[in-house]
Amino acid sequence: MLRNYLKTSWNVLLRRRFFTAVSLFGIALTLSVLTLVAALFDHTFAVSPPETRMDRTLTIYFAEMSGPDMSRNGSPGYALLDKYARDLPGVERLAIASESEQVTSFVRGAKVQPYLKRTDGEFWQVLAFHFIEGAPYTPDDVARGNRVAVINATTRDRFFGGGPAVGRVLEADGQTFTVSGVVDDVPMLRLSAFSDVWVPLTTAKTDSYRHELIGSFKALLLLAPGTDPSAVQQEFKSRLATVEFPDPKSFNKIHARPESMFDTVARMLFGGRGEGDYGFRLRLALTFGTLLFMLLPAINLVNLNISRILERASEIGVRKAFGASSWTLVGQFLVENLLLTAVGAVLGVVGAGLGLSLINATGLLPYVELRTNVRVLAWGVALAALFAVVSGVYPAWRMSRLHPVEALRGGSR
Amino acid sequence: MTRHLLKLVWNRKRTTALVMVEIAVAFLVLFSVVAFGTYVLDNWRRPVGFTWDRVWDIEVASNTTPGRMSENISRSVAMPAPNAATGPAAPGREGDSGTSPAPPPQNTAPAGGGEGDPPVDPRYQTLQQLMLAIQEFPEIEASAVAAVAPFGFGGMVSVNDRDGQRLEYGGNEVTDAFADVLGLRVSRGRWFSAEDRGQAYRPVVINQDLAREVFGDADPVGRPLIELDEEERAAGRRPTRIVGVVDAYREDGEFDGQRNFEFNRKDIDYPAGGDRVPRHVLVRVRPGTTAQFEEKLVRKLQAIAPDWSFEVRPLSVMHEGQLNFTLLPLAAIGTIAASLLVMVGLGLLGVLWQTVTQRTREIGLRRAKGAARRDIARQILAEIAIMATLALIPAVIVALQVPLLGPFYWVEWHVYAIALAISLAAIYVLAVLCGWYPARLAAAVQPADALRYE
Repeated sequence: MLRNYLKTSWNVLLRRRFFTAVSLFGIALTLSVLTLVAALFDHTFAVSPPETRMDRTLTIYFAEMSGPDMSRNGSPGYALLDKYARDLPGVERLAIASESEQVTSFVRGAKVQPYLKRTDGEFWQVLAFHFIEGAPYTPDDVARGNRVAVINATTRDRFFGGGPAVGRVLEADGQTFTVSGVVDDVPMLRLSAFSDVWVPLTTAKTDSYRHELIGSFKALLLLAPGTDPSAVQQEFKSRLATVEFPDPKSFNKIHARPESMFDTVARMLFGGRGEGDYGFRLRLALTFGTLLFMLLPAINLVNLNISRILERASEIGVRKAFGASSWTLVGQFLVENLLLTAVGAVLGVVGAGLGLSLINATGLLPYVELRTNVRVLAWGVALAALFAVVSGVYPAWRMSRLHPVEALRGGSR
Repeated sequence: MTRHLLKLVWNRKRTTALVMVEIAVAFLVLFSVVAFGTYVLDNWRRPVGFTWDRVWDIEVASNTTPGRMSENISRSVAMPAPNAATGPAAPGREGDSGTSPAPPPQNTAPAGGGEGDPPVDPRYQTLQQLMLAIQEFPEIEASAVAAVAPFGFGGMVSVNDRDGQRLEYGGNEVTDAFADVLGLRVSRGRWFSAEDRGQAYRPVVINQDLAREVFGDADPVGRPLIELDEEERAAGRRPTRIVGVVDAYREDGEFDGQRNFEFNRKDIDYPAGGDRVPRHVLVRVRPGTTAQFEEKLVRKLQAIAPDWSFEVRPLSVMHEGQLNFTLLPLAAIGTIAASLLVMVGLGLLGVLWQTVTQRTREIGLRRAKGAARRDIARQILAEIAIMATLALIPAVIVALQVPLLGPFYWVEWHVYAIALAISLAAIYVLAVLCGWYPARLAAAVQPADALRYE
């Protein structure tokens, strides 16, 4: 039966090449854009080295301090994380690291601007970096403020022209560091791990960061397997209620929320503050945006499909006259539309691949190598199926409603 | 005639309804993209007001924390800037802290609190030394200090609505040499100078857009930008006085949507208590200065202030970054929208073609009764035009909600008007183009064939 359907639909597709080409163009365009977006999200959030445990990691990226007259928001300060985020129940490890930011170095007269991140020792335990040579610096190095650094492969090439770098000295941001290890390049979109150079946070130029509630640090909380994140959030929230403020007249409340990386990025995108669950909003916005983006191509395809059905009115009339039920016809038409969408989806994935290599070629995002993988393909297939149903249901219904007599005569108005 | 055509369209409403929905949705998509494009182009044609050929920005991170701070301080007067990046709140309200270390209490003076001036930030001394060193380099022609650098994404925005009138303007705090470094043109009054030091007023220079919005055609020089209210006067706040007007200043370059701008005077040699330490030094280098000078410069500055961080960027590089930031998304959206439009066009063509084939009998009858080929073609095209019009009326009503409800309040009306006109014209052209071939097919119908078909 299915074979017959496929055979029929294949012949129909070949009969009206113009219609087929237009339909395929629309489907391929829609799906390639959507697959491209899916690849971007996959690249940012999927569990992949060095962020191999992001599925059980919570992040604290934002903090907001408020008082009667004003509020101040930014990243958590070191004091906030050090005093109130340690030893939360269910949390295996806590890593504290600064944002990675560009600093200036000069290598043999040429200017280099590597990204620099200042971290604690736990950072190397929470994230699973792959070391090409050497080893990370230890919590002991951090405690003593040793001037040691881990660099990535590209930075090794830039500073030392390839070859082993452990034990050699590099200068960054006016400070000198001894290289202790070299890791693989980390893409920029892996927000928590990304940098070119990682150094102990105690090498900061002054130690005033130790007293800041709002500052420039981010925390990664590695939960024990099976821990309920909301329990950690509750506990942290109740601890924040006990914060002592240096100047309670200006600021007397502080808010920060450990949340998943997806929620954190959603908060970033929406510029969100407070308790809100921004991850849910982002999911909603993405779903809604996808449907909205599909709307125009879907209407277009519906129109083309209806035209095509009317053309085949006599065929449908014959099938109805011989007793095919409406449901059979709806099924047949959906199969045909699925076939069409599947062909379009293949073209779409090819298109997405081209688009991704175009983005990679621009080099706007350091070390970002976007590509399609199994997960992205799965998203593409799911989106294609959704599209096929959205664009196929109405024409199929119209098709099944054709009156046999009129259909046999050659179509209705 | 029109009534008759309307009736024809109405009789086939089931078939046409979906085509009309498609036209309406295509219009809405086109309108949003064209409006965005028009907004960008509308900004682009306005003067930028400064030159950046040989100007370098030295970001001096006097933050005592590792890493630069990313934070917004929001108060009742601060609102997000149109270009999304927000900076510190109103420069008019001094005393927002943020960068000073915590143990000496954060010198955030609450609004209206006037009990004793907070101490002068000790980092001003370092800044003065740095400026002296910079001025000694023969490669540097001129140098100035500013709170915000051009092309730096975002900055300070003040929102004022004292007379029930919303007034929004960008701001910067700069030293006297700023106008020289960036080549600002003063059209009225004068730029800041040493004579503003220690006066009973707070000198400001505004741009022409702001002058026009607040004072109309009157001369703003010598008047306060914003009148102080009772509370502020009681707190001993100094009134502002406009000392000059510059032609234009759009700090993020050609595509900056901010119209109004205000400069406040910064005097790093005589800082007041609680003043923020500015983070940018702008220098204009002599022609022919190479990047090698950069290393020399940074090493020297680093030697003076070992615990500060320095980052040198030519403004031309930052300018390029700004262009990419605006143009890349526009190009991506434009490409997708154009492809969608081609798809819609081809789809319409297919559907109309199919409709004409189906109406062979009707058309044949008309031809047999003596209608000319031209009449048939005209009928088909007129029907398409009517369909398009019927679809566009609700679509335009929906589109007009955007300027009426004003979620993008900084976009001016004429941008929407132009975008509306362009999108309407484009949709009509598209509809007629798609109808042209089917209309010719219809006109070619032979009456005899058509009637035999029946």
